[in-house]
Amino acid sequence: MKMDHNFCDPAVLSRFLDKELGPDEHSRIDKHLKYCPACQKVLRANQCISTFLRAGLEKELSHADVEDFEERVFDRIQRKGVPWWMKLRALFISKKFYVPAAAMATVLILLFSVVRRPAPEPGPSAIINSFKGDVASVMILETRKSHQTILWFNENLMSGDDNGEI
Amino acid sequence: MMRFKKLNISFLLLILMGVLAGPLWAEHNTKIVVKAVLASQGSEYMDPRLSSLTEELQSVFRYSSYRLLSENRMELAMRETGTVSLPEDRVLKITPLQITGNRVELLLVILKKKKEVFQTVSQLLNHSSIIVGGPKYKDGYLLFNISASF
Repeated sequence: MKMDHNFCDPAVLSRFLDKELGPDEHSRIDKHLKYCPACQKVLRANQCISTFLRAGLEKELSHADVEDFEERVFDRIQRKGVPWWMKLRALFISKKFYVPAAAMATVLILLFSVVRRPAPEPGPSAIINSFKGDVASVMILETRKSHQTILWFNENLMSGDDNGEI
Repeated sequence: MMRFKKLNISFLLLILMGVLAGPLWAEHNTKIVVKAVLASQGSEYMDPRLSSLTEELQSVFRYSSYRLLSENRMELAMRETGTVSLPEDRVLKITPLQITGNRVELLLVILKKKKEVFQTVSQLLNHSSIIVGGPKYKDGYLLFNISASF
């Protein structure tokens, strides 16, 4: 009895109709159908629906002009074209753009870091090339830490003030 | 379509190169900052705006107070002269002459009451400064910190 209930399953019958069952199960259902009017009824109904659908679909497809439809779709795509921002976006997300761009940027950044920012030179912050003026005295000093050049001058040439006190 | 893409990539790379390499052939302007500082022996005071400078100055001078009097910024082309007014009718004239390696050659002229006190030509390291000092002012001395970058 339990076996019969399994055979009467509409899903199993549907798979039987679609020839999706294994050979053993197919032959068991085939035998069962000979003695089960309920299953025979379900199977006939399924066969009717299947035949009707297949016939209808074939009829519609025979009327449809697939080539014309395809042509119209392509024509519409070509006339509308792809917007510029879509092309730009496609270009930017493409490896063909960002891989060479990143490589080029890296090379240029390295080049600039070498050309534009040379290593700090040792020595004074300023080199005095010439000095000319009416001053009583002038001294050139340098700070210890960062070698800042200091130009210290005594402004009052004639007054004799102690103006150069450090 | 592929040809169009290749052209686009080349064009964008050219733009990128132009943007990055532009400064190479751009004319060098020199950015100058002049800070006038009063150094004195009065009550201890370190102007917070001079923190890095006072640390250096203290290694050479024995003043207890450093006060920022004025700060002037300018951007000068080669052979262009910038003028800064300083206390007691003094004027500092700065002219960048040329760039040699990592140094800019500056002509510095100090005038007092329209009379030239001195002029000097010095080669200043990029992003560095020279301190010119000596004139007596109030209870201390004036220091002019002249920094240049290009």
